[in-house]
Amino acid sequence: MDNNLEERLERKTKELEIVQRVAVALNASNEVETIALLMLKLMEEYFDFQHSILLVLRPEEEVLEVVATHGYEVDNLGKTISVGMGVIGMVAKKQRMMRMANLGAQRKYMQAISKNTGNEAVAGQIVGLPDAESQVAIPMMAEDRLLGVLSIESKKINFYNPQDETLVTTLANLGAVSLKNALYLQQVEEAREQLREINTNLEQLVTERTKELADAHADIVSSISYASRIQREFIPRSTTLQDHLEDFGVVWQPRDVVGGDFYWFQPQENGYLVGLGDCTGHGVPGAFMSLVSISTLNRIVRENDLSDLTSLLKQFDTSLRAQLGRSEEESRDGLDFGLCYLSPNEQRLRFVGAKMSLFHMNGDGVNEISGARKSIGYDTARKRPFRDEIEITYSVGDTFLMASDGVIDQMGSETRMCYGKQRLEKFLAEHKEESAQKICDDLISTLSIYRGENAVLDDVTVFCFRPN
Amino acid sequence: MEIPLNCQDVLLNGIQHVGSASADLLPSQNFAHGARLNLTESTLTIFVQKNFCKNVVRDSETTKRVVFYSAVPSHEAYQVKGDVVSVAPLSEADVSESQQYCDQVIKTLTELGLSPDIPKKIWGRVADTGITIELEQIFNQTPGPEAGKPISK
Amino acid sequence: MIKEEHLPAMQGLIPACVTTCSAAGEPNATVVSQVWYVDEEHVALSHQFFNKTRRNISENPKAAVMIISPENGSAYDLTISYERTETEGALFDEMDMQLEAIASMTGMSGIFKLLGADIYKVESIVQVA
Repeated sequence: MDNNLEERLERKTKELEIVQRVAVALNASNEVETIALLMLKLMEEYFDFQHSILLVLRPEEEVLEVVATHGYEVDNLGKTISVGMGVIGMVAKKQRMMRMANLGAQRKYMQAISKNTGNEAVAGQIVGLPDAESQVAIPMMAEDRLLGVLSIESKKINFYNPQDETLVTTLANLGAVSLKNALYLQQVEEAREQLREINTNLEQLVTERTKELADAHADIVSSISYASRIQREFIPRSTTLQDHLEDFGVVWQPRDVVGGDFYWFQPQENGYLVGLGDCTGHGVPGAFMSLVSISTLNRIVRENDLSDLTSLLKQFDTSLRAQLGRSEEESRDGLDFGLCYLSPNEQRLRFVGAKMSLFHMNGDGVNEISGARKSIGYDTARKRPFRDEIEITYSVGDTFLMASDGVIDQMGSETRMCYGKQRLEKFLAEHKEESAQKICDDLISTLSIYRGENAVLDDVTVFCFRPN
Repeated sequence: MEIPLNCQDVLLNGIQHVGSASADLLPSQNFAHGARLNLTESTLTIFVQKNFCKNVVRDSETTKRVVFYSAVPSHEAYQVKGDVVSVAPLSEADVSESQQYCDQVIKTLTELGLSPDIPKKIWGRVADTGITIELEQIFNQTPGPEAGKPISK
Repeated sequence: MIKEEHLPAMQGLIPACVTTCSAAGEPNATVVSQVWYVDEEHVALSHQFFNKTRRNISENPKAAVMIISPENGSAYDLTISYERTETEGALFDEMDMQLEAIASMTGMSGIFKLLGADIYKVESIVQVA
């Protein structure tokens, strides 16, 4: 009894050791072949299981492939068994373990029948010992999925006992863990590879798109540059202004290379017209609007007499609305506009404005002459009339200035308030003695400081002039 | 009765069993320890150890009907059926023949992989009784489509 | 009834002889490759062919079986009585699996069909050697 107990204890100790060693190996390595080989070697070392094989299922082909062997003279690595063939194949098919104790006798029995039925007994695929008598084969499962088969065999009859079955089952389960890990790693690697491919494709796509965008941007920049050249053609030449004005200064700063602001000058028989427009929109739409407005203004001035600037403004308004396709109904396109008619011989200036003011600077200070609270072309509120023109007499040395909303509406970074007319008037009062261009330049600098970190929100145009 | 030589060989040299049924239809069986064919008289004498084959010997004397089955490792096998003619002690010659048979069986089974002690438990015994039956019918019991068919009458 | 010492004899290492008899008292002997352990009170024989043994059992359920232990040569004489045939379940599957495995190795797949597992109640076990 004591001997039996001692034997059983020794057996259990060995089993624990082998399981521990395999478990440690599992922890240290993800390589199925490494762990399998260790398992097979340990089975011989501890229990004299001299011949063992580990096979992995290749499900798409319905075969099991040998990935590790121990104790065979013939190299079995890479050999395959069909699912359902022999003990190993049947274990895979039914996903249940088998322990065979006298394969030889059973094979002979079948062969005898085969001979007696006239069948040519065909030996099935052989992996392992062709003359194996005893065999234990265990399916390696992960949840309900077959991963492979672990098989041990011997040339001796009835070599394995139920304890051997239990041990091999335990090892098969450990083997299944290794296989499962390997499978997961393989899936992770495949996913990684897919991601790498997607990444590469994405990068390529991004590169292509970036190039397309860069090309498109270059085209747009080029178009806008060209558009800017065209728009500049509609701006009065300096030489023309020099010919008729004592002094002048202009700032024309579209926010987006082209814009909706413009200044306008047209000599007349006994004087000249000065105008400044601030069209709806910025950039290209604003520029379109400015060109439509300038060509309309040119035509109106050409076709009408200039005795009544208010009437002229109304004509301008009507004509612009008609061109934009809106006559009586509300429109969203239009411009703020200021127009001066100067008669230098009489030192007389007539002004009419549509949401545009004229600033008059002289020795008395700065005076704002306001325009109507109504724009050309659009009116979001109720219909308002244009104001009658204002007539003033000026002296030599007086300075006049019109500016677009971009000056007055500029937000300050510290004050969080618009620059406004008060600040503008104060500035003009302080700088009215300077040259017209200096007044403009200093105004822009002052505006830039006032703006600080805030963005430029609008086109900025200033026209400052001293009549002859 | 004409019995093919291969059949005779199996009957005399295979692993032999003798089976019977009691009057109340209870089957019995055991291993035989050799046999002798008498083709002239068309009988088969089955060598048994009486103590070992108590029930079969009893049935032989009461129901007078036994079967003899013999098979070789290649699975060729035959079954003989017939009425019991006599149940009598074995002659010295028969005992000797029985012992030769038993030694051969032990050798064959050992060659098949069994430890010699194992077959000795059965075939190490000495037969002492002969159950003689008529060769009424011999059936082919070799596994396959011919199994169960008589080979001769 | 069936004890641990009997189990090695039920592994199919040494073929077992099975004797039955008809209702008319005619005995019939055959050899089976394995007597399968079912539980302490039952054993099973594989049913592959319709033969004399099965015809006898249908008339007279009693059978005598001799099994030998490959470990020590002990011989056991079993008296068994037919109860039923199973055509599914763990035992049937195990028998079927073994049959198919060997058949596939010898090119006999599909030729042998396990028709059922015949379950017998063990009425006595006597060690005769």
